[in-house]
Amino acid sequence: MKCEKRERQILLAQSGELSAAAAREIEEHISQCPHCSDYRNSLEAVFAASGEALLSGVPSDRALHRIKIAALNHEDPQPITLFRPAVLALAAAAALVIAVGFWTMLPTGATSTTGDDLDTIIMMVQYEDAEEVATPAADRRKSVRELADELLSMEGFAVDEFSENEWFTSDEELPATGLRSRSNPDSQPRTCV
Amino acid sequence: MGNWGSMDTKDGELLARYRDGQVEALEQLVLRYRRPLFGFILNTVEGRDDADEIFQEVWYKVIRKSHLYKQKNFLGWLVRIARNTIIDRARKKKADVSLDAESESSGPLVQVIAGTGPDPGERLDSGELGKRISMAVDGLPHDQKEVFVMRVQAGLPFKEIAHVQGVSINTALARMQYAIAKLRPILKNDYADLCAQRTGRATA
Repeated sequence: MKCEKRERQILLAQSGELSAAAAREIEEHISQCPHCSDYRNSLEAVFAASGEALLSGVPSDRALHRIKIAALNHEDPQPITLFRPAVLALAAAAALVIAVGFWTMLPTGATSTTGDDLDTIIMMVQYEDAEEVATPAADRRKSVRELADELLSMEGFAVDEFSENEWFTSDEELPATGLRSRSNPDSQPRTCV
Repeated sequence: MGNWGSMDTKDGELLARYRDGQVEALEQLVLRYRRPLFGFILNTVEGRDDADEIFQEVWYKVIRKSHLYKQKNFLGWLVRIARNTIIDRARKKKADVSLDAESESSGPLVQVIAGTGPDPGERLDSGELGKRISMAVDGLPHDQKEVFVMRVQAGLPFKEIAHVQGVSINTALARMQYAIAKLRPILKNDYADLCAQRTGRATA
């Protein structure tokens, strides 16, 4: 056996980890081997010197007191840890409830499939086409025309005498079309300064 | 601390008694292992204040995790908790360590732990030989120093040291061999005196 292995056996013998038979065997070897005998002696010398050289001592009384307080106050020797199965199951259940809650709170459109999305877009386009006929501008134009027709008929003019172009060439032409003169042919047309 | 029961009571039994509400059982364990545990911590971190804090922290963890104890060697369990606590603290300090200090042979975390050892000049009751040895021990690579301290100061068997370090028993033994090989030359001229001292103590 190599001396390196014997050295390990000497270390194990010193720590009391060899069987009785193995310890006897190594003792016999040491008695016959100068190298291993010297190794054992130096090992013991290192241990003796290091035991004194290394720092030693005891913890402070304050530390011991705090440990005692902690021991006294410790009511539950098995605290809830994050990785206990029951805690994990509880956490998973809570996460599931939250996820379902969010799912139900989402708008229907956001949860629809691609086909549903397409139907919605088509409906919106059709609705916009329908609305184009009665946009706010057209409504305003129509109501102005109706009002004008009403005024003309009140003044005794036939509505058909005026074309649409006369009414809506421009905003400034509307009073200059001579509504006053037409409504009162005797009066002079107003001249703008 | 209070009155202490028989030292023959097994560690597992004392821990079980503590779980049943007997605080004295835990106190007994604290007293039983305060020297080896504190010695290991003291030789691994910087200063007695830090060692005191880590010692407390170890026992707080024991109190919280006492139901997890399944090992045969209670001191080994304590040392393992202490080692993990020291590593956690070193990780927190790691940010303060310059990357420039990182050597090729050892990472920054190892340097933080190994580099926080006490100044050999501050050691108590150390003669010239003691200072030389302590300097040599501090100069050991972290893994070797840890094995050495666990064996010499805490008195842990190699099987337990291997378990604490998470290596095979052969690796732990090899680390100890390297450490001894580096310390032997320092003691070369002092063998005779040391052996004489040992013989004197043995016969006394």
